Amino acid sequence: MRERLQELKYDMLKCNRCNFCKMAPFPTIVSKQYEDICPIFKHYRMHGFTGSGQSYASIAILEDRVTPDQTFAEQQAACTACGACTTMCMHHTETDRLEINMALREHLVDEGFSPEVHKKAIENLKQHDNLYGDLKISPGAWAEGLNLKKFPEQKAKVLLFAGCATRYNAAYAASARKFAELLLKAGVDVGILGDDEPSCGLPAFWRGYKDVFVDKAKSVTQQLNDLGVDKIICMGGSCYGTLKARYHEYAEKPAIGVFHATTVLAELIGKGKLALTTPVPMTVTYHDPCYLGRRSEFKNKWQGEIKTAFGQMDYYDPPKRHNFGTDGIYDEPRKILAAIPGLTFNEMHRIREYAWCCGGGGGVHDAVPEVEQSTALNRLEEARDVKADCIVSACPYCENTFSLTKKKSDRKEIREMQVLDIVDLVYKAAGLDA
Amino acid sequence: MYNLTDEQRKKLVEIVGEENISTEPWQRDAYGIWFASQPRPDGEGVYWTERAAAIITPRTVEQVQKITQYCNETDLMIHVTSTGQLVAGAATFDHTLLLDMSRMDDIVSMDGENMTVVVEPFARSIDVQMQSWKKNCNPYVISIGAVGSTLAAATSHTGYGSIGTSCGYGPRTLLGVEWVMPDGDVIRFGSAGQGSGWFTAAGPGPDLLGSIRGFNGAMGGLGAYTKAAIKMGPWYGPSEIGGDEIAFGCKTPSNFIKKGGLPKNMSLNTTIYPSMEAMSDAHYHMHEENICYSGSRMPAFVLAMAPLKDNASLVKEWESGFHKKIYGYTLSNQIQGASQDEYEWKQKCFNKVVSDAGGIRMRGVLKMYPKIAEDIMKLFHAGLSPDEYRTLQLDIQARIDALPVTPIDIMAAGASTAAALRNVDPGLARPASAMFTLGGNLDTWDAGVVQNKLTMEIKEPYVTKGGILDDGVDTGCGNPYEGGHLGYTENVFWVNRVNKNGAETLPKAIGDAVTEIQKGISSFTISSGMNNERFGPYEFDYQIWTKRIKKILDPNDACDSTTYSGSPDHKEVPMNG
Repeated sequence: MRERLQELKYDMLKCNRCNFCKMAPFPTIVSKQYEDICPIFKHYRMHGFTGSGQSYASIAILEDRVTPDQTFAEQQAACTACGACTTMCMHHTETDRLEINMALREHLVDEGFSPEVHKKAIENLKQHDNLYGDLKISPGAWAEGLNLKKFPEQKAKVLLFAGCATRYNAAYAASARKFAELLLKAGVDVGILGDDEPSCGLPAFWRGYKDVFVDKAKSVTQQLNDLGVDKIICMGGSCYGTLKARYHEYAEKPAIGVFHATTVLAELIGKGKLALTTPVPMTVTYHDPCYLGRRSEFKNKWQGEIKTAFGQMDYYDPPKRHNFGTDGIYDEPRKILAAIPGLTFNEMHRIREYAWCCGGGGGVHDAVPEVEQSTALNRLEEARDVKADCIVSACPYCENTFSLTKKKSDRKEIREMQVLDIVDLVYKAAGLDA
Repeated sequence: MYNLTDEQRKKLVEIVGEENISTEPWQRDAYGIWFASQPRPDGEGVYWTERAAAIITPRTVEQVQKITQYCNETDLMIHVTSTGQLVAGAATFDHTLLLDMSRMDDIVSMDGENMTVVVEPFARSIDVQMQSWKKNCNPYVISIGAVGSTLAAATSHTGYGSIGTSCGYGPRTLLGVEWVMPDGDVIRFGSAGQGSGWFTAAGPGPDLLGSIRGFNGAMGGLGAYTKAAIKMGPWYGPSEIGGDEIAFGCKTPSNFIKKGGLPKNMSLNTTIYPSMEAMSDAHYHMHEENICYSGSRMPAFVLAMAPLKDNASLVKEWESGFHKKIYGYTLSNQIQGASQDEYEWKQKCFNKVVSDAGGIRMRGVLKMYPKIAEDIMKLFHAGLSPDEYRTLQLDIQARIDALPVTPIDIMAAGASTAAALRNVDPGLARPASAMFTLGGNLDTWDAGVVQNKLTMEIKEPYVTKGGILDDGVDTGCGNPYEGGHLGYTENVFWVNRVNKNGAETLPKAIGDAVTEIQKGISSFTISSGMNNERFGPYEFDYQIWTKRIKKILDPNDACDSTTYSGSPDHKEVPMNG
């Protein structure tokens, strides 16, 4: 992986330490408490943890100033891989900072250094196709009793991909069941993989195990391509971002269209196939998951030449398509919430491509839980400060992180805040919640 | 390279706690490159500064004091950084404890009536603005952007900011400091030193303003400033963003959409002129009449770059020559009125100043109106007689004033207003990965204009040889301050960190700046500690005085002072002439 790191040195050197990778854009900042955009910097307050600092640390490795070791790997694992630094830095230097962070993490793994909990998680992924080990629950158990079609024995036009973070958690499995019911109610010809549903492999990507992830991406893509479906609908934002963007970046994307539950629900509601008539008298806010938002943006594999103009100015020929994060799924969840009768929706300050991370990504949950907690608490406080009683999201990782963390808050109103998947609200509004 | 001994580390952990110190080599190297790190001749990277012995994030003044006292007992030194954009963010000796003040970020107090604020080192300008706008005040924001430290802009370095027009020049806004001195004592000077409040830096307590910063600032090299009181300027805009007046969405990458129109007592004006002289006169008059809230001369290259997302687009735009021909001499000014009547009077006065100087008030994207663009080129470049010029000038202005307001106009006004008020950096280093300042001046506005011309003479041959980015050579930025009696200019240039020609050119160009100084016009931006011996003899031998101050205040070498007094050996250079 040192070669990959070396390839990125040009981008590393573009960093001039402007510090914008630490903060949300100025005109969007309305509060000191919610001005940060890099979770790891907010927690540790040291430059090395930022997108900029990680680039300089990578240069130090490439120039043999720093020798990778276990301590370095354990500290580097505190990055949640949310990609906010990329969104900010793209404006300033045309650089994907997170790509450098991940290349560094992959290099450390390649050198044999990774947190022990990450090593264990990867072993579980290899042996049990999930992070957690032998759970004594079959992958398809979440859908029992729904009478959904089961691939490959049966055929359907649409595959519902639940995702391992969803199907092994009772609350999120329940949300997935609700989503399946909504699809059936709207007349969608939907099927599932049941016990044959694989993990998308995101946990390997997050932990820097590139080879494991690439193998996973290839096998899952092959499995999905062979189903003969028209579209894949992901229940979780994390699976969606992985299948749509990371597979293409690291291996090959599925030949079938990949969609997220919110896109499909917004379309069904818009076309009148799902009628939301039952009032849901709640005040909610919406948390943009990184992998449904900026990290789901398709990343082109640029091929071309770096040319120089005016003596010193390098430019990409042909121009690169940069990832500013704007092509994520942002409007659909908001359209859904707007369609729910009786619901009051209050936006937080850091939204869309500049959304604050939940703290649960990048393998931080198991390796550096204190970063996860401080990050999630900051988001929950932001939600409460815009007077929301409920934080709604569309990714099981985010929801799990919020649910676990809110219990640790000093504020009663945060401890009592509801955490829901957007599907749960649609289900209520559709009058299905008995 | 120096690594702390176990005993040293243990002592420091006792002071700040394990979570606030890092001795990991990778973390220390993460501070080893900074904004203007010099490219290496091999074209493979930049020169590293020394690796600090540790990175420490103290939480209290007591912790800073104890660390400093410990340095007085050992061969360790402190160097202090706040938001860390400049060389203050790096160590210059390997025995340095780099104090990253990021955990000391409070706004201690704010007095709206008297327009003052007391801040800790890492309170960023954006933090202060969010509170001060509610109290009708605004702090000086240095051009690095509101990401920068308000305290550092006043106490420790220098640089221009467009709202200096009405909020004062940063270093002149300092009302008092809490200072952990190099020997570990903590003092407050000015009125705060007598416990009388933070209202003046000059007495009745000790007045040490000249000692702590001089002109350029110690840049973290002379003890630690743990609190500073800052004088703010007035603010007549809305109390917060996000309302109906100034509201910014974030759907677009490089600009910020303003949902409504600007408040009725505010405007953002881009004006263009046929020559440097016309532009300079207009700028001087605007400030002399106190009609502008902010002001900035915007080089054509920066204007071409600001709205674009990448260098590929910039190459196309700059090669077209459009910006050079139209925007060669451009000003950006914000106007605010304390009342509607005052605003309208200021705007009327502004319009007359621009018109009398032969300028044009622009709006929106000129390329959408090719006939107007064509006529402006004729106006500026066809050698018209004065009468012909005036007739065409008025005709163009009338046509621009009659243009409909488009969404692009609103977006451009929103983005430009944000830039003017918070110095939003539009990717200033993007063209070539590193941006430097060749010459600069705080004197009078006219002196700054002359300085810019001299700097262009130095720069041009290197641009011709491709060692400096061909940005049109004239990249003098700046503005008059405080009613026009002060003026600031800075000539920026770009060098590619991975370009051998650029790496070889940079030291030569900086060296040539000596010529500029010998012509008798001071140049502060190259006069930081590391260049003291080189430039001091031409600038009143200031290097002798900084060394003396260092020797007296820091007898035990407890501060890494290269950014202040230069080389650490206290050697005094004979007075020049």
